[in-house]
Amino acid sequence: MYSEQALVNALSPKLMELILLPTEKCNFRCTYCYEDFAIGRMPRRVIDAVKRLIANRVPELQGLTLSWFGGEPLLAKDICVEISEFAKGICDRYGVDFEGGFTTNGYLLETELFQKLVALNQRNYQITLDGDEEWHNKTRVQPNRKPTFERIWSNLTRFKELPDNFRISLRLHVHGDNIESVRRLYARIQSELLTDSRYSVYFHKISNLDPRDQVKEMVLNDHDYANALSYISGTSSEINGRQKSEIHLKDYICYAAKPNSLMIRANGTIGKCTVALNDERNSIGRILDDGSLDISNPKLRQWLLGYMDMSNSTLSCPLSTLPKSIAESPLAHSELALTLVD
Amino acid sequence: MAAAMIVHPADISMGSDGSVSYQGETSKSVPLMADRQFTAQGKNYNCGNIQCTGDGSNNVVCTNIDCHTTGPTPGG
Repeated sequence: MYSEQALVNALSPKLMELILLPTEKCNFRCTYCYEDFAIGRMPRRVIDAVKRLIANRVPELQGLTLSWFGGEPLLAKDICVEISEFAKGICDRYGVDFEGGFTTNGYLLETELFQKLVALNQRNYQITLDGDEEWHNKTRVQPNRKPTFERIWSNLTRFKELPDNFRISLRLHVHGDNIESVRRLYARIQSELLTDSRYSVYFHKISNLDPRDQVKEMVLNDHDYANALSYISGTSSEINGRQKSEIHLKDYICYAAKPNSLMIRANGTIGKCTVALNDERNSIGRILDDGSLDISNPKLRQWLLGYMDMSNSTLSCPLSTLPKSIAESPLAHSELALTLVD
Repeated sequence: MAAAMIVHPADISMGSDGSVSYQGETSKSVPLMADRQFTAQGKNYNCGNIQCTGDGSNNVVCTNIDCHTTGPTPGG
């Protein structure tokens, strides 16, 4: 069952989320990554178009959220700062709630930049670790295979000294080979970071998102994963009142299932899902130079099918049940609209 | 004023300005039954409070929604 607030947030035309990919290049080469890094930095034409879109929409909104994704978004930190500054300015002028955050590997997140972004209401950070230093440096490496853990950890611990209002969610990847390592890392996080409520931990299972099927041997089944999380964290329930993994989410509606959430790629292509980057079903339109959107509504609607039956699996991951084509969609055969009239 | 909650994807569209519309007038209506229940797509739904306002056109804004399915319709 979905709460009233979850549905209102998902459907309200007064809220808008833009998932922006300022570059699709990355300074890491994680061994399991599904991205191909083919598209580079967002060109000036797209940057200006995004700003025009924001300017057009903000007067009608109650809330605007920017979610920075990539590639590694901080490789294009100037674009992140420029668009965030613009959006904050116009949201302040119209009294619109404005916030944002980054899905980043944390390597380039130096203190001065971090504080600048937080001052622009970009307060939420998801940073991934793959285990303790030994294990993390096996899988989350630079293109030259050099390690990354020490610098990320150094950044993380330095932020603790800041007075700023931010939230860092440490995403800990779990697979069949790194359970002991994640357990050691979790103990370290617990003693050094979780004493500060601005930090939290979220476990995530490594899964196959790449058709090359390159991590198959490492993937845990759901039962073993649940047992592993209890072993790692020492509890089968929430951590500090927060849901601790994707299998513990309640009422979760994926951003891709929200009509007002759009991903704008570095080349101006518009999609819904940040995982299926090369899936044609996920290319629903493009942003034009004047900030207007050229959207295929039939393609957009395929991502919203979960609202037909309030299916938890479809609303939490519309990609998992996405029809292979519009012709195969339930919408192509449905006459009944699910409308309530009071 | 018509008050409606529209959750059928066929009724949702996005305009070139990026705004999302819910096109109520193109939909068939499923009247609420006693105890705020209704049946659609072969399932029973229970609804709590639903308070929506129209803006004079086809757009609606829902501020208070709480529906959940209670299982398949008998015989459906």
